[in-house]
Formats: sequence, structure tokens, C-alpha cells
Amino acid sequence: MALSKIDVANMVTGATPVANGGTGQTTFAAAGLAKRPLSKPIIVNGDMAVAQRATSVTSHNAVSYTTVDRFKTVSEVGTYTVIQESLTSGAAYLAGFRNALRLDCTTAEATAGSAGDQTTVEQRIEGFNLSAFKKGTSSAEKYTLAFWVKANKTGSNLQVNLRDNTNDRQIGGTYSIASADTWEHKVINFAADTSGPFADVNTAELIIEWFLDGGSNYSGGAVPTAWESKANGDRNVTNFDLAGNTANDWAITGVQLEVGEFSSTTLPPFQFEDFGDNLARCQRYYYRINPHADAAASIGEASYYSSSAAFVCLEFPVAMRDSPSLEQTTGTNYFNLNRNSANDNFNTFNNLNASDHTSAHLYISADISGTAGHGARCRFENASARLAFSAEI
Amino acid sequence: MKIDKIKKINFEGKLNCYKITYVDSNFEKLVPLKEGNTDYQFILQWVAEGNTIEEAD
Repeated sequence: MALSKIDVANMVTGATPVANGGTGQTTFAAAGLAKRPLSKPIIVNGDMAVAQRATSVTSHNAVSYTTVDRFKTVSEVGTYTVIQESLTSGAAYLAGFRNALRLDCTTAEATAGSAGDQTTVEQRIEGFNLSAFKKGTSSAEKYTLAFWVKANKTGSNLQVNLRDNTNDRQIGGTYSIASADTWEHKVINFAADTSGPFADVNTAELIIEWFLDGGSNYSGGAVPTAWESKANGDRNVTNFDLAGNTANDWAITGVQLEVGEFSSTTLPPFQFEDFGDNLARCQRYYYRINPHADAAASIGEASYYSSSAAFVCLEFPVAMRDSPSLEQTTGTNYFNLNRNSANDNFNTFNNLNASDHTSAHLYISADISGTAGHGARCRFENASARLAFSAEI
Repeated sequence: MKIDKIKKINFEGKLNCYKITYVDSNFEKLVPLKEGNTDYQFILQWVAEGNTIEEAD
């Protein structure tokens, strides 16, 4: 049958346009397709594939990004080895995941040293990526958080919280670990919130927080199953006590945050990204030059500003979230300027100029000697040298 | 890592960025004077807690 007329009105409603102005039967809902209004997952690096900083960090007792990109490890109770774990078996592996973020307790702390100490894993999401939740409006959407988790011990009522950083509001959910050392898939629903929209900015407006251990400030209340004003005592009602024993470990992968309410049977499939796309999304927050630590890898083109100073001008592979800091590991002759058939080794970059979302100038003003106006190539001279730009949140 | 010191870094006589160094570490950060940078926000908080930034050379 020839198509004689397309009903444009149906395009607006989402119904499939059919011939002669009829009403199509195949809306998204009728077809059983999940509502997913975004082309990219909200969670960045949910499969833990990218780890620009390191694949293993030992003696971690601090608040920082350690191994897997975009997952911040807050380790104030206990000391941990944090690793990007390679998966070769188990249910998460069979679901397609090849990496996980794992915390191994190496120094126990039976009771938190300070009531305000916490051990959590976080993903901080910038406001620009949250509009689909329509938070703070009458059309506010529910949230579904899904992930694979494994620990050496069982437990119930482990808590994961969504924290609205714009309005100091929070909601919590719980999950259990039924079997030790076994990957389990968790799907947790969170209510919609018609109060307090997320600010449409590039700063952390939603924090997903997996609570693993904490001081007394974070317990004593009740898990908030509806959005409420920030109340620390509701954030870790039942303590998992990850720091309680050096035998303890906890691992996570396959993290996805969906707009809407789903069960384990209706959950949309995890959106696996190709590695390059995933890396690029991570580089909005952290960009390491020469992540494989090749001893003589290129840094960029340079020019001598004077006989004893030079600039290296760098453009980032993707626009960063904000003007980044330069992170460097320095040492004797860690870097090199190759100029006019001569070499200047130097120890450190001395200044960061014109750092912006897309580019930066690195300034060298010690240990070099050249001719103003001459060009040079700048490279690493030692495999232990590190350079990275951080615009983390 | 525990902070050793935070120092002003000038360029052509004007404050240009801050350098954070850490105790027993050869890792350091150069931090731009940008409000959206979380290291810069940390430095402001560090000063508010009573710490002092070292003057530039």
C-alpha cells in the first residue's frame, strides 16, 4: 500500500505515523521499550574500564580519586589498597564487565577515629548532566540506580545515598550482600523530588554515595526513603564496617543511573561505550599525558621566551569541565627540551599560565638555556615523570 | 598526602597560580586562580582554617 499521508501530529506524541492519517500502535511504551531520554549514560565510566591515574594505589587513607576515573574514594576510616580489578569470571563478567573498582582493607580501624570520618565511594555528577530528572518541578522523575557488587562478607541494609548538592537534600536506598565473594546485581529505586531543582552548572550537583564505613555522626537516624533536608545521621544507618578487619574487601562495577523507575526485569541494558568515547568523557575531568609512562613520550611543541625560559603550549583533547590544575611528579632530569641540536633537561614545570577549559601554557624557568624565539620539542625524559590536568569535582 | 606548603607563583611580577607541595612526596600541583577549580576552592578553605600561603620568590 502506498503511503499517501503522514500524520505529523503523531510524530509529536510519539505514536508511529502510519498511512492515511491512522494512529500507529507502536509507541515506545506499547513496544515495551524503556524510556531512556539520553544518548549517553549519566554515569561516566560505569564499567570501570578507564583508570588514567593508576591501576593500583596502596596505603590509601585520604579523600581523592585513586584508580578508576570518576569514582572518588573517600577513605577516612581504615586504610586500603584501591585497585582496578580485572574480571575473568563470575556473574558480572558474564554480564560483560571486564573491570571493577575494589577496596581491600589493609589497616583495620575498628571504630572511626573521628565521629565525622567516613569511607565511601562516590560519583559526583555535574548539574549540566541532570536536567532529564526534572528535579524540583511538578514533572520530576524517579531514579533507578543499578550496579554489580561483591564483598568478602555478607551484610544487609548497606546504604547508598543520592545527595542533592544544590539544595542540601538527600534520599537513601539499601541493598544486601547475600553471598560472600559473589557478584550480585542490585537495582534500587529512588523517589522523584518536586522540591529544589538541580542548578544547571558545571559543578557537582548530585553525589551518589556508597557508604562503607563511618563514624557516629552518620548513624542514629533512619534511611530516608523520601527526599529530605540533609541529615548526616541518616546517611549510614547500618554500618557495613569495611574497616573492621583486614580481611574485608568490597568491589563494584556496572553502575548505571536511569531516569524513571525500573525493576531487575525492566531495567534497560547497560550502555557499554567504546573505550575511546569513555576515555574522552573521563578527560573532561582528568587528562593524563602519556598514561603508559613511556620514557621519551612527547609533551608538545615549545618555544624559548628568553634565553632561560620557555613555554609549552598545550591543547586538551576535549574541553575540560573548568580550568584545570597541573599535577606533576618531579625529579632530576625528568623532562627534556630538544632544541637546535642540543638538549636541556629540566626537573619541573615552574608555572601554569593561561589555564582554561581547552588549553594551557606550561612555563619552564630553571635548568634550561637557549635562544629567545627558537622552537623546541618538549618530552618526557624519565618514565617516573607524570603530567596530568585535573578539573575534578 | 599531607600538605607541606602552598606557595604563590608569580609571572612577570603578578600572582599567577599557587603551588601545592606535599610531605615526603615529589608530587605537586600548580593551581590556577579560578573559582571553579576545586583545588583552588580547597586552598581558600585551607586559608580560612588559619593556614598561610608562602610568598613568591
